[in-house]
Amino acid sequence: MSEIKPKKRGFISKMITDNPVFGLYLGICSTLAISTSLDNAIGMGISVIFVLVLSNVVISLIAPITPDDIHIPVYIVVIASLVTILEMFLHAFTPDLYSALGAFISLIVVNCIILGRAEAYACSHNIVDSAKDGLMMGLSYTFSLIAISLVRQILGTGVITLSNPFAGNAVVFSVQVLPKTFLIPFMTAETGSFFTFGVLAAAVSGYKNKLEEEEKAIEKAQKAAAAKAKAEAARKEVA
Amino acid sequence: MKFTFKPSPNYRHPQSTTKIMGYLSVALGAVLLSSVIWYGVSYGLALRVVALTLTAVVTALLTETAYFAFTGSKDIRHDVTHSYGWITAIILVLITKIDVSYYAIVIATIVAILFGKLVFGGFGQNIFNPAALGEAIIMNSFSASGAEEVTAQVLSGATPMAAMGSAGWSSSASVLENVMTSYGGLFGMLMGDYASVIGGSCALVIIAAFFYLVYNDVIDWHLTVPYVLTVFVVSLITGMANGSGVSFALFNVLGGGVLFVSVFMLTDPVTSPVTIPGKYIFAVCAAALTLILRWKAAIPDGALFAILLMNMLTPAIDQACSGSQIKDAKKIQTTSVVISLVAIVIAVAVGVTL
Repeated sequence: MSEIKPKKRGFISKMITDNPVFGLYLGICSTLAISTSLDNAIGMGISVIFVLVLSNVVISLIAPITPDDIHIPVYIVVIASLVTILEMFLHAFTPDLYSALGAFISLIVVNCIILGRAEAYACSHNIVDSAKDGLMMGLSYTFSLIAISLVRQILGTGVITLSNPFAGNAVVFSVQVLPKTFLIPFMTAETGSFFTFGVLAAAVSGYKNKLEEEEKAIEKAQKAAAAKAKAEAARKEVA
Repeated sequence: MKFTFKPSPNYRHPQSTTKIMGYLSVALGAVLLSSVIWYGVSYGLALRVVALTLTAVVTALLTETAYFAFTGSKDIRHDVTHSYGWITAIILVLITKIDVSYYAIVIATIVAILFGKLVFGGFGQNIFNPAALGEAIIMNSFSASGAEEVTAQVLSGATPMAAMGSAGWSSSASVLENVMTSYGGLFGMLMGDYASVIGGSCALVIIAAFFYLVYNDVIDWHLTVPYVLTVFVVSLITGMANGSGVSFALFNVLGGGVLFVSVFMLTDPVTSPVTIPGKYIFAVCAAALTLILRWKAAIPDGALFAILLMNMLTPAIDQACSGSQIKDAKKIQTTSVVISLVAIVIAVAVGVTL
C-alpha cells in the first residue's frame, strides 16, 4: 500500500556495516599487528578466507554428529588442521610472505572470527550458506585489513607498493604518494595502527548510526502513511 | 575521564576556569619569554622559538575549529575559546627541543589536541595530559628529523640528562662533577645557562612561576611539592649510597624536566586525582617512576612518560581514596602511606643498584 520502502543496501554498504573488525570488533589482534603493508594485508586476508570458508564447510557438515559437550575442542581441531595445511602451503610456495607474517599464520587458529562464525553460523546452517558466510566474512576482514594498511603505508612510508609473493616478492607496482619530508613515522609502528583503527572504527559506527536514523525515519513515514490510510477507510465507512 | 568524589569543587571555587587559564597563560608566557631571551642572546634563535610557538598555537586553534565545525557545534568561537587549546600548544613547545622541525610540531599538536583531548569529549574529559602525549609522539617519531643546522649549532653537546645517560648514570662523584661543570655547575643549572628543552632549563623562572600560580590559587602545591621532594630524597639516598651525595640529588632535580613538569603538567586538574591523599600517591608514584625511567630506560628524561603512565592510573587512585572523607579517613590514610612507601622503596632499590 505504502510507496516508501527501505532502500536495498548494496554489497559495499553491507561489507562496511557487517564488518567483523570494525562492526563486531573481532580479530583485532592480528589486524593491528599485520596491517603494516598492503602485501601483508592481502596475504593475511587470503589466508583467512581460505581457512574460514573451509572451516565453515567442514563444521556445518560435522555439527549434527558432534556431541554438544565437546564441540569447541572439535571445532578447534578442525581449524587447527586447516591452518597447519595453510602454513605448509605458504612455507612451500611463498617463503617471503611466510616469514613476513610470521607467528600470525599459526595464530589464525585463535582468530575469534573463525571460531565465532563456526559457533554463530556454520553449526546451524547448511554447507552452501556456510561457505557463502565464510567468504563474505573473509572478504570483509580482508577489506578492513587493506583499509588500515593503506592508511598506515601511505602516511608512514609515503609509498604504495604491491609485490608478487609467488615470484620472490617482485614488485608489481610502486607509487610514491607522499614526499619524503612529509612522512609520519609513528604510523608504521603499533601506535599508528591503534590510531588508524580507532578513527576508521569511529567512521564506521558513524555510518551505522546514520543508516539506523534513516531506517527509523522510513519506519515513521510508513506508520504515518498507514495511519492516514486507516483514517481514510474509517471515514469512507462512516460515509 | 574524571570521577569526582567530592562535592563538585568547581562550583565552590571562587575562580572561573577562564580566569585560572588566564593566570596559567601569564606564567607560561613568562617562561616562554625567558627562553626567547636566552636563545636570542646565546644563539640568535629568538625568532625560531617565537615561530615554533606560533605554529603550534595556530595549529591547535585550527584543529579545534575544524573539529567543532565537523561535529556541528552551534557556537564554534565559544567552544574553541573554552577548550584552551593554546595552553596545550605552548606547553608542548616548551617541552620540546629547539631543533624540532616545524612539520613535527604541527603533527604533534594535531595528535595532542585531537587524539589527546577532543575525541575523549573535549576539555575536562581527557585521560592523558595532551601536551605530554604530543611530546611522546615527537620523541618516538621525529627524534631524528630535526633541523640539522640548528642541531649542529645548539645541541652539539647533549642535554644534562642525556650526558649523564651516556656516562651510564654511574653517579660516582667524579663523573657527576665532570658533567656538572660542563653545564656551569649548580649555579649554571639554576640559571638555566645551557640548552635543554626550550622552556625547561631556567629553574629560577619556573620556581617564580610556581609561587605566582600558588599565590593565585591556580595550581595545587600538594602535587608539586611531594613530587619534587620525592625526587630529591630518593636521589639523595642514591647519591649517598654511591658517594656523590647532595649534588647528585640537586642534579636530578634541576637537570631535567622535573621542575617544569611538576609545575605545569603534573598539576593539570583534569588528569590528576581529586582528593588530597590521592594527590600525594599520584605525585610520589610519578616521582619514583620518573627516576626509575630516567636511570634505567633508554629515554633521556623519564618525567613525561611517568606522567603519562600515572595519568592512566588516576581513576584507580581516586577509587582507592574514595569514600567518606571523615569516616574512612583511616583506611584512606593507610592506603596512601603504603602505596607511597612502596613506590619510594622500589625507586631507592633501583637507585642503589645503579
